[in-house]
Amino acid sequence: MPTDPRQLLHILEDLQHFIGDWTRTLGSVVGDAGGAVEMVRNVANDLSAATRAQQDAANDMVQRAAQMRSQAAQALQTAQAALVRAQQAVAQAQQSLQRAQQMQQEWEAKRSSAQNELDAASTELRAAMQTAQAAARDLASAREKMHAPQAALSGARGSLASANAALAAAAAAPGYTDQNGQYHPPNTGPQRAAVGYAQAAVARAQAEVAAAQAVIDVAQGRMDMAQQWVGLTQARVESAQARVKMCEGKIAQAASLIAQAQSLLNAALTARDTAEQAVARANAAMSAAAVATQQAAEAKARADAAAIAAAHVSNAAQALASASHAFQGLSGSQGEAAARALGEVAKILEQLLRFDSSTSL
Amino acid sequence: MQFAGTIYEAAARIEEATAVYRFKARQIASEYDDVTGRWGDSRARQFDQLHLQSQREAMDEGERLCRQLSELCDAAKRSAGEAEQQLSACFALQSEFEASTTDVNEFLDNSHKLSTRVNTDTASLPAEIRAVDGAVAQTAQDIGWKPKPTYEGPAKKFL
Repeated sequence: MPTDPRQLLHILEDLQHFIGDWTRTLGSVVGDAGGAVEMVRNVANDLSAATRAQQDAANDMVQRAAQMRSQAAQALQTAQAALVRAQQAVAQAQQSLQRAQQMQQEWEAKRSSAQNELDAASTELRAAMQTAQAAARDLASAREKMHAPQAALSGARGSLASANAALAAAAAAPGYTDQNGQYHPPNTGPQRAAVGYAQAAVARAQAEVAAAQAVIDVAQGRMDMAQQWVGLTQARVESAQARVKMCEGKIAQAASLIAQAQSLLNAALTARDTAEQAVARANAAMSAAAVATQQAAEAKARADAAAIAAAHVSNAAQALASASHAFQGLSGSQGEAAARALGEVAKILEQLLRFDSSTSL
Repeated sequence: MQFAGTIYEAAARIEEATAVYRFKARQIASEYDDVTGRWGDSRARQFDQLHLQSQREAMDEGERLCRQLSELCDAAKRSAGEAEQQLSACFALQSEFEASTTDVNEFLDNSHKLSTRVNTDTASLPAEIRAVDGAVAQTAQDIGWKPKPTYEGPAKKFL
């Protein structure tokens, strides 16, 4: 050990310097470490709060996802019910359309049948009318032929009347009484002969008239039969015409009903398409809700993992705080020990210095 | 999110502080050795036992605490990084979830509107179809018709 006081003081100064530096260093290190540990603790608290908030958010997501699944299932059920309703409407409208079309076909068949009857009756009516016309011509001809016999009969009757008048006149003439006193009526022999001749002429004329009348009667009979034919056939035509007209009316009504049924079918088909779209959207919502459910579950797992990691950070921060506290205590004791050591060294040096000065005296 | 970054910063500060501690501890230990090496009598040994030995042990304890701080910092960094990574993934999933929610709501809204339209459009159809069916049945009714009898008399012979 040196005994030179200046060297001893120099050693003491150096030691004081180092111990002072050491003490300051300990304070600085404790302060820095403590501040850093405080930062870690703050971060741990913030991280814990953030993870808790995220766990709450993830739980909320899980609940919302379940709600969305429920809503999507309900929407799918509603859309499927609407689809069933639309499909039923389509089936009913199709049946209605088919019935209307079948009814129209039936009336078209009936109209065709009535039209055939009308055509046949019309053809026959033309024949009947031709026959009636011919009969009319025959009747007119027969009536024409009646004029001459009638005129002859009239002439014969006139002659007969004249003959009868002549006869009457002759018969009214005074007779004469002959020489014998026998009365003799007037001679009417020629008048009687004229009357007989006129009567014979009348009889002939009547026979001719009767013959002509027979021709007329035959023609009239044919005329009546032809008219009966015409009448019956005319009735056939009118009946068939009425039937055709009624069928056409029914066909027109059927066409209108077909148009209505077609319109209803179109509306039902459109509704069915729309319902299918609704079902597709609901299925898409189900899929999206399933994806959201998966995302929420994964988010919850992530948030829970983050919370576990945050708890580890908190544990580490707490352990750091404990270690920092221990370090702080250790540093304090080190500083105090250094100070004591420095005092002891100073005491030793003081003894050395006193010993040296006494020996030097 | 700067959790891990802040912990890295704090860890760097702790590393720096412990490095300073180690350096200064070695320096003061050397200085103590230098002081005790200046004399070799019993007082030196007594001084060493009474004052310096305990300080060396305290330095060892300090070194252990420094290592513990470093290890805890590493653990905190790892956990903070893990937590931050999970939170980032969770945020991304939350964003995707909101997009899915938007999709679901849009699909639900569309489906609801379409179903409502279908129900409205089909509400009157059954009654209208029944009305058409009734009219069809009525129109299909036929009182019947027979053609009038054909003339079969002798007039046809006159043709």
